[in-house]
Amino acid sequence: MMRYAKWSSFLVLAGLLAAGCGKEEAAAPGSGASADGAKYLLTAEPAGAKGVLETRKEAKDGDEVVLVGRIGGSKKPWVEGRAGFWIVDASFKACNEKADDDCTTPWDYCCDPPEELAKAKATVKVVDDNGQTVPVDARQLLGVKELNTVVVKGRAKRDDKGNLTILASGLFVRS
Amino acid sequence: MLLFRPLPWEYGVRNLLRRPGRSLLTLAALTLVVLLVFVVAAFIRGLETNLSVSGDPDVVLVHSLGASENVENSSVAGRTRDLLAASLPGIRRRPGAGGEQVVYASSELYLGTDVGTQGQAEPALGLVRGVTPSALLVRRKVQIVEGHWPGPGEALVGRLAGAKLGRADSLVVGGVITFEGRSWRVAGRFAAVGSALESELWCPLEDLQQAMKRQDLSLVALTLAPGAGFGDVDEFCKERLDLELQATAEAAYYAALRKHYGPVRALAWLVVGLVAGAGVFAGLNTMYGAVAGRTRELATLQTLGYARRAIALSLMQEAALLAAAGSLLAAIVAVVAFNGVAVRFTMGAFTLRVDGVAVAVGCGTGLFLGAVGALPPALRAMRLGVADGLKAV
Repeated sequence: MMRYAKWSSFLVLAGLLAAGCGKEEAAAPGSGASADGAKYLLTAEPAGAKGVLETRKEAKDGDEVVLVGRIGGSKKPWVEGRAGFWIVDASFKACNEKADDDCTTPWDYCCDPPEELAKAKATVKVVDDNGQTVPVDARQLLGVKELNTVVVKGRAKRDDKGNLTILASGLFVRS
Repeated sequence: MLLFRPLPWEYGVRNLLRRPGRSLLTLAALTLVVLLVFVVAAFIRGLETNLSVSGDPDVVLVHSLGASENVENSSVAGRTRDLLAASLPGIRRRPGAGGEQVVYASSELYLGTDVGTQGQAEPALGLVRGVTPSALLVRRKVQIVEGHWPGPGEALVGRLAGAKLGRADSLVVGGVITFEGRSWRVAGRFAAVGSALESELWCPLEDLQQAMKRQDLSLVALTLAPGAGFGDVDEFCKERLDLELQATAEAAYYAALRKHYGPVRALAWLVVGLVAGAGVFAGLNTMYGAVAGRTRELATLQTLGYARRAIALSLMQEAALLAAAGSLLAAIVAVVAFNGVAVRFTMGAFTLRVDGVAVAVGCGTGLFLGAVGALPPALRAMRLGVADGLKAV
């Protein structure tokens, strides 16, 4: 009887240990950032963030802006090898947040009309002191991933075609 | 150094000649099995080579957003080439005539369409690329091997374009082909080191646009300048949201296709395994028969003082000799009859390649069959009692 109890307690303990080891804690947004990326990551969310749609309407070339949006807009929203990516206005729902959608790349917003999506996108480029895009992939530099909601602080770059690029000096990962 | 006295090498060789009928049949079976392995290995090597030589690491394809997996569905504005040339300093350039810069950027209209050839009632699906002379700057592997660059109403055909159409000999220089409602005279033939381009038909971009009543392009192919990177083009495309462009490294485009054909390759290797397995069983059967018919002979060898291991080794020697001869014959047939044979597949055509890897796989399989096929009968021979063997009928 004693032997049985000893074995039972051992098994329970082993089970608890295994469960504890197997459980992965959800990584905090931006926690995978590199050492170089830390200087671009803001510890507090900048105030007065506006959506992409609103900023596209209001911002002029050279304006200082604070913009909020979600990383996505295509299957590959990242600029390869550079700290740049697309963000989409937060009012748009990703495909996986819509009913009856089993899209494997929900961040491409393929369930929204392309012409509407194009008007709700902006390009974010994290720039160094010389104004050059940091030559490290944003996922490595900032630890961000698709569908993260980010608040970006920087200078707006506009052209006569209505495109909006944010030359970001700082970025806060909201979720 | 063997710890026993082996049978003379000639004994095994002579044994093969003592039963020529059986030896020939075994040789034929082994040759056939190894030949099948050669054909499948050549298929895999041909497909792999076709996709691996396709795609220049310095070339970037700029196409419409979302068309990275199928550029045939891409549509970009006709002015895209000039826009990219003006905006991207990272494109390769060289001084041209009259002080103008020659930009390594090629506007292309690419599609799969029905192509009619002379003497054939039914058209077949072919791959057509509308190009300008700049294509030769960017597509560095292309070499005109016969005829000349196509003028108005003419087409340049790839070395494997006929195979892609299922009519290998139908595309001759001076002949006429039809597609998109127009007739095109074949001005020449080109090779491209076995890449996917060889399955295509090239014609002047403007002519194709007129025939199709289109003004757009499928893509612009760019060669990067030394020091420039894919990121330069990707960054431009990401910034110019209004153009809805996407950049794909040509090497990555073909790497994705290679991944797409992964299951085909896996299936082909499975066929190699299955054929080899069937060959092992056939070899086993033959060698078991050979041992069963020579029971008294093997027992006599034991009474003469040869160790059982020596007899087993001699049996394996016979099988290995047959397998080696079979592999050699199969290799010769494969090189003569199958090497370079064009095979049609969805993306174009490629040629079977009996290269070093295919020869190693084929001959390795053959020798493996010989060794493994002879092992169980040889082990059986080792267990044979001398008295029982001598009494066997």
